[in-house]
Amino acid sequence: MAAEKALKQTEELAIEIRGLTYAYPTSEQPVLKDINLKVCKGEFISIMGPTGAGKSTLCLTLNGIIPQSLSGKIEGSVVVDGMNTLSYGVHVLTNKVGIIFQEPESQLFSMNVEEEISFGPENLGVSPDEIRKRVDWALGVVRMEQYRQRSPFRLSGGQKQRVAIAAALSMMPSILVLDEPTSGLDPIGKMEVFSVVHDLKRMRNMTVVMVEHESEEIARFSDKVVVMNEGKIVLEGTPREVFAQTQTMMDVGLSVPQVCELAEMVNRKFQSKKPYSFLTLQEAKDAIRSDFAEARPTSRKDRGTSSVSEQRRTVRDDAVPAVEVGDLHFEYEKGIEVLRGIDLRIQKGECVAIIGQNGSGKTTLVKHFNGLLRPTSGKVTVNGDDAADKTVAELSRTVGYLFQNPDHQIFSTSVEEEVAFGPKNLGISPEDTETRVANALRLVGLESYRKVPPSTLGLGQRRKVTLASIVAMRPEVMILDEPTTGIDWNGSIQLMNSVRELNRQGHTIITITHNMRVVAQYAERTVVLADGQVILDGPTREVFSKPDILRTTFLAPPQITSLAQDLQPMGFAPDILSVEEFCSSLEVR
Amino acid sequence: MTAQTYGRKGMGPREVSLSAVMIAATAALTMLISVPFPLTRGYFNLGDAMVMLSGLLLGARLGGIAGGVGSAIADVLLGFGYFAPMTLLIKGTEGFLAGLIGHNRKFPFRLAGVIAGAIAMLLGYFSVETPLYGIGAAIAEMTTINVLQVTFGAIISLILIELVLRAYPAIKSYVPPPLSTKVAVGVVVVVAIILAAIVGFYLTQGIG
Amino acid sequence: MSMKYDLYIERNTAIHRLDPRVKLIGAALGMIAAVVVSDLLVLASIYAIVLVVIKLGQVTWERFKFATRTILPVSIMIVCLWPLFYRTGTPVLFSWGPIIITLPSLLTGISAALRINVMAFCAFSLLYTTPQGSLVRGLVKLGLPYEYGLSLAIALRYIPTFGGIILMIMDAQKARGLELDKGSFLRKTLKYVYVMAPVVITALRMADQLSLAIESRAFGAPVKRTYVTDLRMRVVDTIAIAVVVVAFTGLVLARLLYGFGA
Repeated sequence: MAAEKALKQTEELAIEIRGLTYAYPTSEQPVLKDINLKVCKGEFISIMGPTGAGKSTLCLTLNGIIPQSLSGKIEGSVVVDGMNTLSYGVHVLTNKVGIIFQEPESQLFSMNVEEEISFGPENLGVSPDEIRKRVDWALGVVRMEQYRQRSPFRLSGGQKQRVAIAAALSMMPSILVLDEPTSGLDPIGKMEVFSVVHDLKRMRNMTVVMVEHESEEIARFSDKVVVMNEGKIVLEGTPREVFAQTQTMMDVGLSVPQVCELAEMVNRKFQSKKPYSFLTLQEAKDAIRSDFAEARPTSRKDRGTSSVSEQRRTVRDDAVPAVEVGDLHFEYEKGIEVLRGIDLRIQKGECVAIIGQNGSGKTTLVKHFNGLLRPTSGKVTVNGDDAADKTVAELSRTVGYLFQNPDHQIFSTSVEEEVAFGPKNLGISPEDTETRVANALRLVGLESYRKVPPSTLGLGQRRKVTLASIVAMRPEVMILDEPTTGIDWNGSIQLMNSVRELNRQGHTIITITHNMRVVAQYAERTVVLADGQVILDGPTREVFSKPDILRTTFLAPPQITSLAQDLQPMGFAPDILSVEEFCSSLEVR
Repeated sequence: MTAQTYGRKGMGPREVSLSAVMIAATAALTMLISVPFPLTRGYFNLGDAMVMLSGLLLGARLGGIAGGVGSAIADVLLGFGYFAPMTLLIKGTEGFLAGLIGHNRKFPFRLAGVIAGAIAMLLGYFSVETPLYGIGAAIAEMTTINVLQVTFGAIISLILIELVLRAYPAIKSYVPPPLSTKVAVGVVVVVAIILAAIVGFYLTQGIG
Repeated sequence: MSMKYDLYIERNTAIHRLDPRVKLIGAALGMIAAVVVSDLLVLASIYAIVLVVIKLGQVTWERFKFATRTILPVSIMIVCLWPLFYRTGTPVLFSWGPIIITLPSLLTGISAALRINVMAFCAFSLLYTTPQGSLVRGLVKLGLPYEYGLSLAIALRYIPTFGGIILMIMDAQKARGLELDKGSFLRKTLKYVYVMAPVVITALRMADQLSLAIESRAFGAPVKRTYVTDLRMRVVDTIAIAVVVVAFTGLVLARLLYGFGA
């Protein structure tokens, strides 16, 4: 009886990994260490972990590319859909296991959507009629039917990733693996992809493995969450179970939904007999409504600890602004106006966040601050001088720009060389350059990586390298274009802490970001752009307490702020920015 | 377990990907970083640097493909489409030779490789342009733009190969599928014959 | 500098509808014919034929001007330089010291220039009327191994992407104080190393990702590959090819055997 039961269980397993240890051919250190994992058919499991934990490597073992293509040393076994990945060719395995990668640009390589989706089945020798049917079906699943003939250049990030999903689906896999599918996308794009993922979950017998950082979405979809760190599985369980372990999660360097943090904090503060566990906003709302009294007014101290206001110097309004634009208009081509009359003044020492959907004009706007773009009409002044009279390189002395993709700047054979590039261009003497490089590396925490080639580092560290290289130029104003996209929570915090330190030292900081928690935690002022115009501009608290305006451009304040806003009838302030602040306004009934 | 990714005809997924991106990068760089020069092919560009670098970095076969096809596409898109077949052959040989002699070797071989490539480019264009443009124009172009291009190309590619290998060490783990000596010699001989034939045809058939 | 990444103009003419293989072979044979023949009149007739094809393909006046504009400087230079280097023949039109301009060599110069134009327009007639995807498919059907065709197709798709990346890298390095517009010719050119290096590294990185992506979709599976859009020769196509091949063979034979059009 037991043997029969065991057999039945094995049959129902989509993925079975036993004792998997793997090292890439180029290094001695194993990236995966003794992984054991069972995934049942139809299950939706999410994998979380900091950069370098081995998540992507694990994904590649599922379709045989590791070890068959990438070689390396492997121990243990991986069995997908009953097939051992060492015994079947990659083309057979990829028929069963579809993978969607993080970068939309390098996985869409065909001239148009239809060709892309047909590529897989064509390779497998499926008949053209059958392929056409599959393409129709896949396009329907990802809701991109009208985009058949579209070329990849005319697709948004969210659309590209959906096409990538369709391209995997057309091979009719029974297991779908998504490796950080929304990492580089804006909020709308993330929404599009997650709603498709939701549909996938409801597809019969489709097993889904998703690697993600967005803990709130993970909480919504997953049957099971697996947390990896340094090649091992450190936590496994339902989302509720895993997110309740907030301390372990934080030690590993991951974020949990803010309501989970809240539950943990509430349990600690109030020593409740039955500990709370909130997975979703709704659960938190219901529990607080039923068990807690009217909110306590928060003291200055409580509010202060959550934002940077305590570090803020007084900013004088009559001082020469760091950057100012007046009635700025800009069009890339005739007739397509991207910026439609922007007025903005940023004072020295401010720390400003610029938010808005892709296409709202954020990057276009900030590129005027250092001369990369010149206005079609309107004026741009930097430190009181008209930017029109200076070249980009000249302006770079005053305005530093951290590009979203660090690989667009990195070329050196060592980190210290890379960081020295900027100062050298500005004509700084070798001794001064050396001091600046040392200081910059210390600020971002990369001293021990001085001699390493920057391109061998992970994305978060490469960002730190480019940040250091800008810091070494000592510009008064620093523009950061999406500094936390694509890196894990720990990496984001480290980076933003360095940025906060720079602000403390007097630099003006302008950050473009989609991450509302970062905005809440680090920016005192927020500017919201939509369709080339400023729709909100003011202290972050003020901006976040206007969710209806934010909603018009599909933005939402952080989860904890939304919670407070939903519970306004109970007296919670609509501009709460952190979990600590919320907790301190809780009053037991 | 060895990595057998060569696929059929020595073009496995890595070869397809590497050649595709290097073709695209070569074409884009050739087109974007160019200074208009009113003479024959119309523009001084840094394409030769990319052609030679492709050879040094990826070996003879991929170097030839990336250099030849990339430059040919650039010709087409800039309006010199009729030259594309010749460019394909000549720049392809340039990349091929640079890779054949210089790939995965130290500086003296790399230098020899780019010099061989440079000579191939100069002789190649000269022999093709003489019948088409007349010997005057061919000499004019060879001694001005072309010499500048291959000189800068060689210098820059030698700088870049060192830089890229050290800045992106992962590429060192790519080993191109072995090119048999027969094929290598065969390619060089065939190209030389084609060019000699073109020149010969015109010399014997008389010009003017 | 607005970059044209695709010369194709979308229309629905008879030329557009021809199978790409017909056009590829036609353009190739046209270019070879222009090389084989030297007589001014014969070249002019071939030129006229190519112009008719282009007209049938409804190529706009603007595009035509673009094509001629790029060839014009070359043509002029050829006509000017030719008589200076080939000084034999009669009658002599002009003589001053070492410069002897004879009528035959002037005419040959003009023929050479015309030849370039014919070749150019053969190429243009192909490229203006055939989308890039069809070109690649045509080449594969004519015998190019699939893997090379895939590499070519992927390259064509990524050229505009790299165009954008190069501009972004130039911006990014400028924002670190790199002055690309100042300095001597030598210094300026060498500075481009700081642009080219990140481009190449980015390309190599992309290649790694790309290779995983195509392998994850069963590239290289040991089965016979199918194609959703397949090229099929219609009667019109076969007739067109036959006409072109016959005309070409006739011309070449006439040239070799009878010196026609020498």
